[in-house]
Amino acid sequence: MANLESLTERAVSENSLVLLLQYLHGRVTTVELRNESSVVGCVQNVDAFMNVRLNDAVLTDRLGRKEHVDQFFVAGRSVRYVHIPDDVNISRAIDSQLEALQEFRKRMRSRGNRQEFLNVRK
Amino acid sequence: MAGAPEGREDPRAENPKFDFTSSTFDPEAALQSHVVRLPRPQARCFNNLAEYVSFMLGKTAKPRTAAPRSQDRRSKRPGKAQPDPERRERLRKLMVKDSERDEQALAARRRHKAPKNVLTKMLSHKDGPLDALRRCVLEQIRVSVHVRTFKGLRGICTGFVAAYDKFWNLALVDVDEIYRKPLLGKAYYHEQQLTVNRLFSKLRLQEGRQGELEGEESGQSAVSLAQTEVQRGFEAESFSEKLRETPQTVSCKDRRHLKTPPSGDQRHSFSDSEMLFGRSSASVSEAATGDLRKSSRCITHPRGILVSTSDHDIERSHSSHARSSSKDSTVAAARRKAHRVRRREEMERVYKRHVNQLFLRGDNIILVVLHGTHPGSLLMKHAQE
Repeated sequence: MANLESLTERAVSENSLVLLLQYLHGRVTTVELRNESSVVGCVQNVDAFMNVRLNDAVLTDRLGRKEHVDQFFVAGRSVRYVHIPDDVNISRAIDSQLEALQEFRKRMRSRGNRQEFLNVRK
Repeated sequence: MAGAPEGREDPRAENPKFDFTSSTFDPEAALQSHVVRLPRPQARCFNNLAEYVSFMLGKTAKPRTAAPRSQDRRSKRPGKAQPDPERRERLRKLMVKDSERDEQALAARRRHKAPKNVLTKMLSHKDGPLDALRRCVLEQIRVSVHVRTFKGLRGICTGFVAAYDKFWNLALVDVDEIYRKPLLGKAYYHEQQLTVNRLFSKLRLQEGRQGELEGEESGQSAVSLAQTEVQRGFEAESFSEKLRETPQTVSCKDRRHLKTPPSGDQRHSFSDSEMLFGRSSASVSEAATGDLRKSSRCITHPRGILVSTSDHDIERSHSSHARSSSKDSTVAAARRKAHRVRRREEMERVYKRHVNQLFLRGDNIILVVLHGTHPGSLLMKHAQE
């Protein structure tokens, strides 16, 4: 899951399909970039702005040259496609992510941290 | 407004102007008079009509803590009795109770507030383009998404929308994509803008050629090498034409080409030729093996197979003549030309692929076409620049 502590990120990801990408944590996927190159790697982190961090990635440029990179960071804006593995059910993935967010929120509330709700209402 | 101090006579009997219920009630006179008595002094006091309306509609309107203005004014007047403390107390109690109730109502509403998230938002669009996307999700309509590159159209994804959001990020299922990578180098400036029609006609052309190629390869053993060479694509033809040219002109062209700075896609072929020139005295066979290695690398693409095999054939057919150094340079030039043509072909290639599940970031979308609905169902997405 992304940075749950940040209220902005939580709100953004809850209201957009970034949620779906955040479900892919720990899975191996292909991210295709706008400059025609593509990266295959294990998703380490996806934040609300669709910045993706990949572990143990293989970068393929538009001429087909391959290069192994240990850590690869994709800026959100340069993402074109993200392949979703076949075993992922999209609607179920979104549901489970939303549940996780709700859980987190509940935990925060039970801890008595109401500061963030005050911020929301402003 | 509040009631007049108690202990006074009821003036309504004398003056119907001050009677709230009578038809001759005069509000102005009533406001200025001190003897007016409200029919229900306990009635809640509102600051304005809007507050009253919202209260009647069940919305919360917090009562002001300040006492009514008319009473203030009156209390300043000399000789008037002080406001009744008991009544004041009563009023205050009323207010506190009210605000408590408001708090409770607010809390209750907060508890019952429907959660807002992607899914609820996805299904809540009632009009506009996003409503059409919602229809796609609910009715499983097949859509074509036109994807952009930094310069115009890149390709078309055809599939089913599983989810979308307000940024037009799409989760597509069962996607067939047809696309072409944008050109590089000089071609970038000369190419016509890619359109849907052009993309498809290119694909058809390419598939036609591929089918031809497959048919040829099956019957290749029967036909002589020279014939197949003629039947092959135009790049092979131009290749042999180049070979037929006199060595003088070719070398001239070579030198001219060497002088031009390498740019974009030509850089690779340039360095290649340079390498060959550098060892012009070396055996041709070595160069040929190098070429073969290259062809084996290209073998994944059907066009690559075509070009590299023809390369090799020509090499073989002319190997008897390619003994002198001039012939060497001719072969090198021809190979370079072929390489360039191949590169160009490769660059203009239209790719086709199938992806089961694909996430498409919204800012790459030009437009979405809905299939299987009434014509003209075209969703235009405005460029966000």
